[in-house]
Amino acid sequence: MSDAPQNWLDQADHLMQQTPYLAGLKGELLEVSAERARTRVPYGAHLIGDPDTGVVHGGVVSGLLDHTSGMAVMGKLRAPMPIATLDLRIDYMKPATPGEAIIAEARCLKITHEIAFVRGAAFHGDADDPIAICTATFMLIHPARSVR
Amino acid sequence: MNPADLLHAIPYCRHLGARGEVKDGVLTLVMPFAPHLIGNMTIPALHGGVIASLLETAAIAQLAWETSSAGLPKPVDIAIDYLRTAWKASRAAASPSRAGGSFTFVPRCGRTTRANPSPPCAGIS
Repeated sequence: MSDAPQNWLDQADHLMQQTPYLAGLKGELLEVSAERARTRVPYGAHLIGDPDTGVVHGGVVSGLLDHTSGMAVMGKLRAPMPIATLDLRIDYMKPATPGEAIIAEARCLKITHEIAFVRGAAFHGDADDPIAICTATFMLIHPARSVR
Repeated sequence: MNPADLLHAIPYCRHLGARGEVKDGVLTLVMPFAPHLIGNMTIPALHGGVIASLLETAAIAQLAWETSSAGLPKPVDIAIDYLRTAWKASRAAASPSRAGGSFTFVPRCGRTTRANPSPPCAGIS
């Protein structure tokens, strides 16, 4: 394997900024590689799910984990390819702390011709004290097949 | 609090543009398609996280409405099955399938009209 195929990952942060939903969350890409993907969403008043406590909505956490899991799959690919989430399971471990940024980290454990398996977690500063963990699978959409 | 007010009080719900409609005792969340919810520009399709958010909110709102609890219910876990691409206004409704120490929800989410209901784009449990 040459290093060249990984070059497209240099564009990954730019691509993430151009994804409207992530831009709306003010999401940023911290890292994407064959090993893992990491993203960050700062606290924002528009992300609150419980107005009484100021805790961010669970959907923000699941959305970030979905996206980060997808980025982890992309990090494993030699070239960009459309992918789609097949299923996503989230376990909420504790509420996010109001005012703090949320970091998501995901690893693609296994990739086959058509399916990728990912695990991830969302946390503030300490990855060992997660807000939520996730398991996801993705479908790899091969262009030749998608036109049939 | 009625479901429409409850949902409007949630900032992230307003970000999604989701509002509650009650018809024949059934609460349905309606989320118009909006450019800032797109996850895939080439289709363009709603982000999977948006659909997950809508489904989760439908479950929370249904429970809050049914139980009239003080404070919003907190989800413990969710599992989403994505069935197809979502690229138009989406709807979600939830119903508790088991009430006790825990609840399980089986909402449906999809673009539907009464005359021609289309298959759901995702399910949650």
